[in-house]
Amino acid sequence: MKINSLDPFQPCTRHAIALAINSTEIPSLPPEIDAFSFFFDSAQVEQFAREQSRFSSESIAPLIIIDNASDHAVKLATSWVIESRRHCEFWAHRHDLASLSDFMSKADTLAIDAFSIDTHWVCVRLAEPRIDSYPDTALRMGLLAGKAQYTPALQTEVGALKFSAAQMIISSLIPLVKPIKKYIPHNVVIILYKLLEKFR
Amino acid sequence: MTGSELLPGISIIIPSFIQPTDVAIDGRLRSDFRLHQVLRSIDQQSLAAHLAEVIVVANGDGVSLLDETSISEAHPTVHIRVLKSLQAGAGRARNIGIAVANRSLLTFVDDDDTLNREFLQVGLSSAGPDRVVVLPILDDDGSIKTAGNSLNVRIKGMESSTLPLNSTPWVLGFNSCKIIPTEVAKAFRYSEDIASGEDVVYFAHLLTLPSLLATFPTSKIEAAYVRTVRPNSVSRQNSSFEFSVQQRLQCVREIKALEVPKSNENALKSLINAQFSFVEKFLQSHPDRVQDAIDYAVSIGLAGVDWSALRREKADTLVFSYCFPPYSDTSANVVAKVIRNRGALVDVFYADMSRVRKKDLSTRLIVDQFLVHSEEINVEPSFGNWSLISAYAAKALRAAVKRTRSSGEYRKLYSRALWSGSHVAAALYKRKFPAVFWEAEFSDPLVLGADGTPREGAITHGPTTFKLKAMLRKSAWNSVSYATHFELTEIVSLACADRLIFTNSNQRDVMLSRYPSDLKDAAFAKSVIASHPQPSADLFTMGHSDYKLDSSKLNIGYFGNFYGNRGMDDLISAVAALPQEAREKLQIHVFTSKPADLEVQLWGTAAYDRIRANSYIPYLDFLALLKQFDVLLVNDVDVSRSTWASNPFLPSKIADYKGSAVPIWGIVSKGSPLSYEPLAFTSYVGDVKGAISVLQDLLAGRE
Repeated sequence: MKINSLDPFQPCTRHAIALAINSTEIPSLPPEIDAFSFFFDSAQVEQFAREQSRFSSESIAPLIIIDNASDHAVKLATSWVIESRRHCEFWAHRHDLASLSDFMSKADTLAIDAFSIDTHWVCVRLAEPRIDSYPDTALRMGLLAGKAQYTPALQTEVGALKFSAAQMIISSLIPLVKPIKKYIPHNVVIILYKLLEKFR
Repeated sequence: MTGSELLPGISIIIPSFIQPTDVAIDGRLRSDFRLHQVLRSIDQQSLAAHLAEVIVVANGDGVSLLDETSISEAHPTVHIRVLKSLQAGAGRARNIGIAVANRSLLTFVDDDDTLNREFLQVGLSSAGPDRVVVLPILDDDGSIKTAGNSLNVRIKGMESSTLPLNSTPWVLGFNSCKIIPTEVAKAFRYSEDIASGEDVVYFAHLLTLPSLLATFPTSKIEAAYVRTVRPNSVSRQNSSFEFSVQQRLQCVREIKALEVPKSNENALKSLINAQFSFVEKFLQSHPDRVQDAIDYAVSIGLAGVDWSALRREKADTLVFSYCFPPYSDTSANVVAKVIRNRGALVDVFYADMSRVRKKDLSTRLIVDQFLVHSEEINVEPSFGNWSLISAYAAKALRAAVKRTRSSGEYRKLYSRALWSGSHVAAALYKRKFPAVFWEAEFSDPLVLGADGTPREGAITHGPTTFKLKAMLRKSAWNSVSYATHFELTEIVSLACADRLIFTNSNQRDVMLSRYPSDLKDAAFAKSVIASHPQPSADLFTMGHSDYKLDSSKLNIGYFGNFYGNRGMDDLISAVAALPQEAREKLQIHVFTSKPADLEVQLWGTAAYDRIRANSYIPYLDFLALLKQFDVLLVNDVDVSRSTWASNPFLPSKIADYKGSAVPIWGIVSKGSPLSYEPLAFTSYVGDVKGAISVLQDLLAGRE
């Protein structure tokens, strides 16, 4: 991939087509996102775009490729930008900048036109290379080096347990008593349940 | 996005499935109507509007029919975001919702359900980063809303309490009426691969966190989630093999794969049991589908399910095998392959070896289809302590007799040892049921160790000793003397078994040579040679391997002990003796118990860069990996310093290698069982020049 410019830009967060690998691997997305159509198959994106252009005079929404450096995604981005001259961005979550690096190494007919980085995402806008474009080698090395600086976002810390002694006793007793419940007379079970309710 | 970046309030995720045919007679979308109903209920919440955001995730072929602008305009007080996914699936839609949620709490609402007025407010006021809030749930059948559903009764029973989540695992069995911390929700995703039960699997992930709580703040109707009851909803599907067995087993597999803290193990088991209860219920009324269910479980890699209560077939063969899957042990795997290759149903009694062996649950996949009943005998494992060996035999006998009494006598009895407890238990069973046909297999000589010297093993008094001695007294072998329990067990097995199985003829000759010729002839007459069973072709596809090989090099695989092994010393010398150019074209991949020791051994030698040391891998993954190598290397046990007249050992891995159909290079001793195997390449132990020659041939073959 070439670089036209690394000027900052505002990534598109409304009315876009998003292509990810699958829904289980989409990291936490920027909170401004609205009216996105998600796809997990580049062929479906192409079909969707064909149908949209046939039935609507409005321009096709921008394409956002999310952490997807598959050959299909590269092919789609290339045709989206070069043949159809449409808006296309690649977003890489900072825990997996290798996807952007892979994408850059594969998309040799495209160029980066603008660059944006925040706490969690690196986004690039893609364009056709210009005559003054330069190689992306240094940027790719920088991206991979930058990975070490990122602290994973999803840290689940659960607070200390806070519950009463009664609750502790109940939760310990229930598993002990339950197996022998069927051997206890019915009226005794009812009394025990009433006691339990009072205890609670 | 971390917890500190999330805004206060609740993200409400609403998946909405839209088909192109989802248009009512008046031209409006049915899903539009449903969405307006649920959004109206959110409009009317007592919670301040700025504390809630709605994420509608429309999914399915018909999403382009949905007009997101009209939805937002119709509910101006609610902050709504509409996202779309052409690929259908509530799990997929929820994942998208989870990815974009930006409030500190999160709840899932189905598009045909609604929320009563105080649901969000009560939920928010009871929530915390360490807890799941569970609120009441009503059923709405279109005419009446009822609070008497079984779920709500349970929730009501817990009113005003807060408990560890692991004491109430049932709250993890559904999506609705819960409010969870978004940071917790974002740590996991719904599975796209399962057709139903993805909610249970998703929420089961919460058990991977150590100290979450479940809180039940109220039973007030005003704070309830209102669930529309439809006769054909996914969770109310009619029982079918696909829904009740296949899809439930998929869920069991996903849940079983979770690694949870010890304190949450029982809760996880309870979720698994709840899923498996559907399987049991279906198979109890369709007993002819039990084998299909077991085959399906194996095909999806779900091992170790206890099918014994469901199988109605009778096992033909009783197996005593001290070592047995899931314990990771060569002998355990061999017995599993024997059972698989024979293809007959068996009952197995094996020892609890948890103290001395790791578990490799995947090895149960080799044999699960053929187990009617398998029972782990709770003992202290011991190779040489007679009291502990006797304890296994006595307990295993008791369990097998109980089984015999309940399901009838067995036609065959099979035992296999190096760990002698197998034969001891089998002998005791044969004594009690003399009509059974006993096959006793010896993987190695029992009374002599690897160096050919007698194993020590004092015989202590006890019922097992008494019974074995009595068996021997009644046999033709009563004149043979013995000093150790290994000898007693071997003699009783040779005397009383109906068929003796040896892995190679050297082993038979060596073992029988100790006995008087008439007895030796008698044992010989009832013996067979059966080398270790090869894995069937399907076993090579059950595991997986992502071990990376450089295809430009000659890749040689070796599995086993390496350090201080004579054959391997030859290999190191041979590699070092190659010209550098040739050396750089090969890579030897060693999988061994002590890779660090191997690294030290190689350090400073010319072979250092050419040998990659790795730890052992699970058996099925080992099989999956074998086919990737150009050559597999096997070497003979070094018996040069032993007292063996001839080498009685055939490495069991040769059977796995042969099954892989990859060319084998054997570093062999003259006359050893391995030397008679069909090997593609052969060199002799101690012959470095021979090893160099093989390496040169291999490299030349690639050019």
